[in-house]
Amino acid sequence: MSSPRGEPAGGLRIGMVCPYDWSVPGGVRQHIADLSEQLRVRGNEVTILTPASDHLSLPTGVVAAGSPVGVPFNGSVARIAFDPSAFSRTREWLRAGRFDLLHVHEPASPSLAGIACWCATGPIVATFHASHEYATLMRTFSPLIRTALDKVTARIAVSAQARVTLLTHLGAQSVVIPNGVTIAHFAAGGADTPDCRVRRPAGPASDGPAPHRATDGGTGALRILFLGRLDEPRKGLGVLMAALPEVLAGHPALTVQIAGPGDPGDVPSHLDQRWAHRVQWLGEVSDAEKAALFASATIYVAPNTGRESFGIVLLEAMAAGAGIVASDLPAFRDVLDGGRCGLLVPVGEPAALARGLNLALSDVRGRTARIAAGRQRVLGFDWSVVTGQILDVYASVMTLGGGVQEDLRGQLYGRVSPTGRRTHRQARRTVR
Amino acid sequence: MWSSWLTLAVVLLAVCAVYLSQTAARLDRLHLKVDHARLALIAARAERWRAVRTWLAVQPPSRAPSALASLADGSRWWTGSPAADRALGGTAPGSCSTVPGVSAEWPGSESTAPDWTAIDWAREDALTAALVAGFPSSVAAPAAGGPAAAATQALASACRRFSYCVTFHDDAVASCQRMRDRRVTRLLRLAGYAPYPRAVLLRTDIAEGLARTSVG
Repeated sequence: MSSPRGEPAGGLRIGMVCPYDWSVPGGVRQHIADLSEQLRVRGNEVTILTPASDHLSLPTGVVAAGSPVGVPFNGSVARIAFDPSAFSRTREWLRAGRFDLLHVHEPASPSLAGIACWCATGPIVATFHASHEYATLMRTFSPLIRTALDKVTARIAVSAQARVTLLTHLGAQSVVIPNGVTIAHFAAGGADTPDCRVRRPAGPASDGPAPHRATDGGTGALRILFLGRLDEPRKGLGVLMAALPEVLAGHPALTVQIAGPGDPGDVPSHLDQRWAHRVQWLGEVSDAEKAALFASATIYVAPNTGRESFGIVLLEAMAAGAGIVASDLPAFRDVLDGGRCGLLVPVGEPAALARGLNLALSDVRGRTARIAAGRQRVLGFDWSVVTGQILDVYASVMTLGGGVQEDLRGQLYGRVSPTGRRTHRQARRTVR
Repeated sequence: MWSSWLTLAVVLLAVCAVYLSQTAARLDRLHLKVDHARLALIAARAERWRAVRTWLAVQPPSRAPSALASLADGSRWWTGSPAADRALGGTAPGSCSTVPGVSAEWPGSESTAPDWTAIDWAREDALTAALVAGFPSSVAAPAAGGPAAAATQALASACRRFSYCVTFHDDAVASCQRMRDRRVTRLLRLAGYAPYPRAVLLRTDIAEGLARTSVG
């Protein structure tokens, strides 16, 4: 409960619901893991319910709700659980958890999050991540999801984009709380993690905890970094590959690092032998490696072609102090403050991307100014700020107390069920 | 022949009954949600006034924005009743125990919440405006650790909660109104005697100088 002096609530039992497979890395999963960690540090108890294809490797505090099936969703394959056993496991989890509050993610998808809304009653907070077209999904599952969404007490949208989507497709108001980033981790180039297997990129730029960035003066080493799944077209690697010859030709001291899971052989490449040796394929990288890569990169490039609701990776680059060249997507424009913190280039145009990269590489003064603006802007996205805002949402939905109860009958009988009638009477008494 | 028609009619009636009872249950849930949101908003509102007064109390008078001070200092809006203040979510220590903005005529002591209609909502917008004006993005955060820092953090948190509660309340009201406006709801009086909910439509912006305070 909120204290009268207004400190953030502490000591809550929070049930967190992740809709996607825990064994597969992804933005939503990462957000949930980080948020849960932040909440635990502040003295709350968090349990995460999630589909998981690999039950054995789950960390403590994460509960599996059955094996997921792959469903094509938002341009990639989402691995979700939606079957009778998921229902019964969710109910079991709710019963055993005795939560003060439920925090579900992406409840408008037919997933565990929707099931949890359906099975529970009480304070429910929902975070909406995707800002793409919900329309088809909503029409298909409208009756089921609308009832579940009725129960959501508070809606959080991760960006202004996601908020507008929510308003147009569900007619629902929400508050905007961005995804968080651990600034200290990226500002230190990942050197704060105990992971001693950190594979630092070779070169003079990476020999200290506070890395000296490669610049085009002096030694002249320049690095462009790309991060993301190689086999997902919407990450825009194809556009980058098409733009590279022009960029590499103009900057002889430039190397390009490409990190992310997938087979480099599948990437449509226009590079001939002259340039191929200056492109490094790093494969999948760990979190600490990612931070080190950001810290040594001159430019982080995000040539994504669409369907991004949030640019968490841009925030990480900003925190690490890398220059940014990104597609002019609404979400990216939002994070980059309309281009003040990074260059925006037209979406899906290799020639424009090449021009943007060339400009960012050669215009040192403009780049430094944008990096400084980015470092300032990213402060508002630090987990210490974001967690405070989320705790304030928690506090504002928990005025009555009572916690989360199991509710399947409530769906069927509504006001004739004894629990429904009781809470109803109680609320009426207190308000009027 | 007759029996099959009869069966069909019974099945149709049953489907109608289930649909209507579902709709009524949903309406009930939505009204309940509005009620909860109201309670939360009332509490958040009181909390914000308390936080403002606590913040003013730890500031040197010269540093306090005058619009804010005069808003919080209108003694004729305070109830002065400890029971009333308790009902608004607890009594803060010292001079911060009174809450402006509610009518002096307080319902009997058995009542646990203030009368919604007695709250002067225009005053809330005035307070939001004073806060936005008093905390521009350029305002420096006080040094950590002191009472001023704690009060500023509490004020920021209270402002956010108030803004969130307004959004959640109006959202609940909007979804309830959509159901109430349906023809089937109106014709069959599925909402019973529940009054038609109204949005408060208050400002939800948060002062930029308060928006980015962090928690430990």
